[in-house]
Amino acid sequence: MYSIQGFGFSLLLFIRKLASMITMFCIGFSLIAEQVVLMRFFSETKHHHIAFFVIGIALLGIGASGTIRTILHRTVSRRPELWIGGGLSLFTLLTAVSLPLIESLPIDFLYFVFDPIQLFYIFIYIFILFLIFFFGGFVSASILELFTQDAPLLYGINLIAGGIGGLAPLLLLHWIPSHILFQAMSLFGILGGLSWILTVSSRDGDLVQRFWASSLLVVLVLAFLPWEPKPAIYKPLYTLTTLQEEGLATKVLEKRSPRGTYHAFEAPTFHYAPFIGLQASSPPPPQIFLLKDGELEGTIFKVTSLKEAEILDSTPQSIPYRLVDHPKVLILDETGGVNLILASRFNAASITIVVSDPTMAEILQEQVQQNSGFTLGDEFIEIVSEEPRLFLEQAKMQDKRFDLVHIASTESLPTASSGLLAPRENYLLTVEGIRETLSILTEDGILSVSRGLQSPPRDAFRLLTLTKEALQQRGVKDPENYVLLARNYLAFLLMIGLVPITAQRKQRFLDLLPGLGMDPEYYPGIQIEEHLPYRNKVSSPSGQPYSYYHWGAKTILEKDPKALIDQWVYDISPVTDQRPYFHNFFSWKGLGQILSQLGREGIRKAELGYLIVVITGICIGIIALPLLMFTVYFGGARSTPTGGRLYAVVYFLSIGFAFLFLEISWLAFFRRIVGDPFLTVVIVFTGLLFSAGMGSLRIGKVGSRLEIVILKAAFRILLILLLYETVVPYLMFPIAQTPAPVRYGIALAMVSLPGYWMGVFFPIGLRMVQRHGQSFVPLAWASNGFASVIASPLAQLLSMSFGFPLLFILAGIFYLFAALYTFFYQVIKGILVEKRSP
Amino acid sequence: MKRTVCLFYRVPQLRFALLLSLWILLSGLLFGWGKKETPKTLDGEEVFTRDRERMVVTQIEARGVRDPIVLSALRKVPRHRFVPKSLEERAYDDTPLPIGYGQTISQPYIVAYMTEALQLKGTEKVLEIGTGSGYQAAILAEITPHVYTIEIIPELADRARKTLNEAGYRFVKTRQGDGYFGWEEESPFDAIIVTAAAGHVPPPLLSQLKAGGKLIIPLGGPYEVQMLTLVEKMQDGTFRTNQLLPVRFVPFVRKAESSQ
Repeated sequence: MYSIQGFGFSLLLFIRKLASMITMFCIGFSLIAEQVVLMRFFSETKHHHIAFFVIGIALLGIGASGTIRTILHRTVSRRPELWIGGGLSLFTLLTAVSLPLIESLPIDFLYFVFDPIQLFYIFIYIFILFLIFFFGGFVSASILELFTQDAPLLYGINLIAGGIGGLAPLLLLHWIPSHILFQAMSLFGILGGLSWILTVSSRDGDLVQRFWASSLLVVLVLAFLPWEPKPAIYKPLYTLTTLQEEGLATKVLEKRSPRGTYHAFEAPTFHYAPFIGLQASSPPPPQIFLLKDGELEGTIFKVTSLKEAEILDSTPQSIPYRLVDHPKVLILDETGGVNLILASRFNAASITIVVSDPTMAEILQEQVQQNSGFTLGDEFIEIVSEEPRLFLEQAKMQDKRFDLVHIASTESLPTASSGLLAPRENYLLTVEGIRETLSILTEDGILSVSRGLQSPPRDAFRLLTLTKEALQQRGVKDPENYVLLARNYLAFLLMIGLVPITAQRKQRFLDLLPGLGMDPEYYPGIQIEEHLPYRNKVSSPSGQPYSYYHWGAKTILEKDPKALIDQWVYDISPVTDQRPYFHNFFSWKGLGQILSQLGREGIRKAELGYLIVVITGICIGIIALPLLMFTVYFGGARSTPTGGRLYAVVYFLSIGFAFLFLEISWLAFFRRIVGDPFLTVVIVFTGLLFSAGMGSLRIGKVGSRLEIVILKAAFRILLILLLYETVVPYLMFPIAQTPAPVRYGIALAMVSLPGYWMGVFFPIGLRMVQRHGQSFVPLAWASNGFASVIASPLAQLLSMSFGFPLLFILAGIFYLFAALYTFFYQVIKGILVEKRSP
Repeated sequence: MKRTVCLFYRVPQLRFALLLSLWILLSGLLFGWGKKETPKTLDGEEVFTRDRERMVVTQIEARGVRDPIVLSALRKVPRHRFVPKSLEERAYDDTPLPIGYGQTISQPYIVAYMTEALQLKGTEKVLEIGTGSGYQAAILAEITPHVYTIEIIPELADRARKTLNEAGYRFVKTRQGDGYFGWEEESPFDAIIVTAAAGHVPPPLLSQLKAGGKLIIPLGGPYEVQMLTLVEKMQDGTFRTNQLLPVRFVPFVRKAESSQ
């Protein structure tokens, strides 16, 4: 009888444990999957920078839940199952209703300055999203505290679920629009709730069941309510869909992949002409507009013959084709079909187009064939879907050479983006990127880049500093003899040769410019007076008749550019693979100069991307600080020994900073191996959470000497990071030759290796803290949440300023510090205990 | 005193309260709490006339616009009649204002600057692309009787025509349609003013410009900082351009042509 009762009791315990594990899995899965899907949703409907806030909002929500749990510690402890059940239901409900709710807010970004109520709306907007992660975090932390003995196991499951949650959208976003997928995540809340009902004891079972049933009802009702998000007004997709509603545009294609949502529109009255000269006599031909996430990526001319695309002859991009006869052409990062037509108009011998996005490559292939009459993929026109840097490494290995290489991505990017592109890494526009591109040119070949004009110049100067550095790395002593620079009223064109520019080529270049309405800005031995006054006047150094473009090119190429780099209003220092942020031009000194010269109006020109990250970090810090303060001053922690409190705060702050420093820097670092930004996010999230989960599970089995375990782990992490730092640059060439799945595997392994050891820190810390008292657990969560919130913008800033190596080192130091602190803390405590004992 | 401070600091609740207050203060400073706008009492047309004069002196002349024809035009046109009723109070402020449909009425200084850049004498035939509120057209109409203006958004075109008529500028010729193609039947023009951001100068506008004529246009992407550019057509048909000023205009909205 006793044994049957005992068996029944054990079975009950087992079911309870299993159910709590399922609940934990569901929450862990949806918390990460929702972040990934939400980032996608914002990229599609809003501006990119809003997508960056998702991680911050999520971390803030999870951190705040730790604080609130501290404040409500006693209340929650009385009926934890009920609170968890309630939290689960709210998490489910908010996941289901939040997107239609926030989209119904009458937010208009154009009216912020005029209408203070808009600020209130944006607050509500963020707050609703914050609540989802708050309740998710609340449930996770409460379950961990309720099942103290199984904390490492449950924490491990939570992390592994997060890893899977990061991976799942990769598959699902192929078929399901992001807004529907996000709402569908509420089903995991339902499942988690259902399993929680099995866990709950009879006292609160009835209430929890009611909570669950009501959330299920709401989710089901919402599933049948039609809802479609609208793109933001400042996205070209908004204009084109509006035109479509008025019958003035036709949508010819809609496709989705985890990397983006793609549209193609035909709008006869919507013209796009990249940098056309003033001598063009007719409007551009009808076009198909290719959009990715609502932004214009490129266009495809609807022409029946190459003659109809004559307008392209007036562009600066046409110059290289006039300098090299019958060239073998490589177009890197093409996003439309315009450069292809241009190359064809000038009788290219062969054209290779490299498109980094496979879906875009597919669309280009199909649309170009239908509308411009080209077949991509035949013997003359090859289309390659690969990250451009990886393609360059592969081409080098196969000894492929091109007469003309054109970097096309700079043409479609906004010219004056006020720094919005600053946090976006680009491995093609780095010193190493330019050096590698030059290495696949034929001896007579030209590398060309064109970009919209800026005043004062910005991108042109950085391209020139990159060029000089890249040429010098190739052993060139006189880089000034390798460069040609010209511009029209809209854009400049930079051309770099593999060998010095010949007199014949220089003359041909000069002869071309008048017909194109262009001005020369630099060529070897230039006497600018011969070319003044300009056809297209732009800003000049004070009292000088020549432009900043000429002055900058001459200074950078012919002199030591250090003084110019130090004093220029923008950061134009050459960026490298360790700091691949070509579009980050912000400089503190420059900001001061701009503001003193132009006053408040100048702020628009200050390239604020970096500063926005700084301000965001400060704001998040100020908002997050009370989370920590509340946990320190309220709740059970106050009444317990100071030593334990200090330990919990210092330890969890350290590991929070370390984890996020690595996670954020890896999102950019591993893109170099993976090639695709979204896949990189998935691999880093999944690899890190999964391996950290495994590490955490292992800790569940370790009984003692925990301080030794984490000390060893810290040294291992440090060692691995140092290895990555020193060895990976040399391994890039062989890695680039491997097929994509192998590269993904390598990246996953590289993330998982330190990830496993990183995973042991949190559960060990929790166990250490629990030794001092259960009430320290929320304090640990809050400290970790606070560090995570602060660390994400800080990591972005540090990598933009100093590069990834610093973040790797800092993360290693933080882990080592946490481990040593624990070690010595345990030793000192042990000595004290020994002394006290009789 | 020192003891009181120590005591204050030793009590955790007080210490917390102190830190919290500091935090609130810091947040307040950061988010700009406590900003108060001085209320403006309106007193009929006289107040607007006074505001207009102040606008010309402090925003236009002070920034270097000197052309007496332009200054006189700005003194005459009742800008408050071209903004929505709810924003009348701010009509003479140094800022663009929303007029609906995602469009704005330009900052007074920009209107003055662009008009001055065209160097009008009083008899020229001028084409404006992007009527918007109609204010720029009214300024031009104070200078020359030959003003043509095109607006793509039908509702705005209707409203601007009505406002221009009511304000006494009936002679301004308005049209609803796509400004990209200009106004072929009335070409050539001595001057063309484009009051919406464009990625390039539309070729049809260049061909409708007289030799010796001037075209002013903000060039750059939508919702970015654009560069106000002056294009001059030389006697031999070639062009000279000059970048003048960074500005921010609403986009050049594209739509099919339907003239009225």
